[in-house]
Amino acid sequence: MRTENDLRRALIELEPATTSTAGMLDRVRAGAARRRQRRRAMIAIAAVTVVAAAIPVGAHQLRHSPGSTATATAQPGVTRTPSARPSPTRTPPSGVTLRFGFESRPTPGYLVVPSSIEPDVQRASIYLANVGIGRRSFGDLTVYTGPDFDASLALRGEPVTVNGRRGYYASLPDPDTGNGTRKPALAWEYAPSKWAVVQGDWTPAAARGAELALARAVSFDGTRTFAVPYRAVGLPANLHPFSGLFGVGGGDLISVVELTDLPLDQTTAASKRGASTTAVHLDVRKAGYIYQANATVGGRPAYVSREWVQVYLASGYALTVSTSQARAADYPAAVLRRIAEAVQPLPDPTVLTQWVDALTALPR
Amino acid sequence: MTFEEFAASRLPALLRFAVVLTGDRALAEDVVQEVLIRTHAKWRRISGLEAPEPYVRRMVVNEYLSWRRRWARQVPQAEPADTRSVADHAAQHAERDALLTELRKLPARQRAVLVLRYYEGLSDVEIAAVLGCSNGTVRGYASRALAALRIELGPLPAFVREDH
Repeated sequence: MRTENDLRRALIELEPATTSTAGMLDRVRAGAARRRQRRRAMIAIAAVTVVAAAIPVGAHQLRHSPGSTATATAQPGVTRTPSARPSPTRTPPSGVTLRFGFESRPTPGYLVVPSSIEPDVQRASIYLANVGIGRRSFGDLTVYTGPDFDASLALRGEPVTVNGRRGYYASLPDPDTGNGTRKPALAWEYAPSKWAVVQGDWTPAAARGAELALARAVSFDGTRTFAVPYRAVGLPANLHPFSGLFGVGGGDLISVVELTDLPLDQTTAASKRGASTTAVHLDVRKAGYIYQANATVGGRPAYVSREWVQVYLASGYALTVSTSQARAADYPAAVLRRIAEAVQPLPDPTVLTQWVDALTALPR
Repeated sequence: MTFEEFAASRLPALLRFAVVLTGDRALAEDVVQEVLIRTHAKWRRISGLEAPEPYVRRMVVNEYLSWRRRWARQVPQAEPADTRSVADHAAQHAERDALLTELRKLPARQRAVLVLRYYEGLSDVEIAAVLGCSNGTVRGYASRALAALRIELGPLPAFVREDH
């Protein structure tokens, strides 16, 4: 079975080694000149045609005065037929607390950046200090806050002690590939039935020392802020955080928060099946494309489509408010737009020191 | 920025993108040339955009897709022939070549979705806007294309897998 990385590498390989453009600009210039001449000729023909057709068109317009035949024009994504789907629950569910439950002291040679929070698992990305924080991490620290970790494989490994707790050096599935490939890892039981795992791209010889140093640097007696580049004021009362992602790489920042309006266990179960029932996604990142604005949201230029709303911020960033496919009927564009209005982004999302603690920025 | 300055500075990058998108150097040149001629005609409006290049890239995608539609009407068996000689490659590249060959056989929109997602790094939301279709349609194209190429998705978090 091939992986997504195989595809990425193949596409990069398609890039031409050289991109000689000799002669192309000349052909473009010549083509543009021909089109100009043709357009002028077409305009002349069109002018004659319009004059010939003017009289019958004018009579038709007089017989049909404005408004007499007016029909309602559907606004894409704004007007929808009532959904046959059950309405989302009005009982406020208790959301996930967007705060990291672990901290990592500095470890020589490595940078550890807390990255995501889900109901039963939190993660941090591990980077090599001499390489810096790039788009791809070198490894991961995964902290299971619930009972999800299957310890059976780890228990077959070689025992080790991490800060007084039992742990194991073992070969565990690589979450990056998902194809069953295993990589060296260190898993330890940091609290009764709760596990954490350090895993990376080390060579087998180097893995143990690095994994143990990184594992020993992790403490679970404090918490660490999960920050977002906005304040959400006046969101629908039934929306609560389900997960959060913070990403940094290549100088760009990414913030994604999923909001749910269903009981947490239902959303979690769907997520584990690979389906998403989350209601709303708040996504701030550098915009790949900036579309010509067709609306103003919160005083900022925005692009409102049938299924999502994108609000343009400083430094080429954008806030995208969208829903999952399964919930599109419950959250049409008009609703997403109202939610986007309730999100007040920071003046410049690239100023990380100004990001706001999610516990105060979002409803709980 | 004048059209000449834009074209001279961005032509190599546009051509690289078009080659990856089409898998065919000659076709890529034709597509980019046609797009730049139309860009020249609309330059006053395009140059007023905050980011002209992404707009022009979108034109490249649409031109490629309409090109394929024109081919389909005129030449029923118009899949570009695989001109790469597998025999020329070392054995360790055989799998990569097989993947590239299968990639060329994908329907144009499926291929465009894969290139935009895995080469350009666009989110499904952004791809949907480029192609003028829904997020669900993008996911459908991607899903069918990945299945055809026998590519297994990694276990991304739900929010990445579903909508981003």
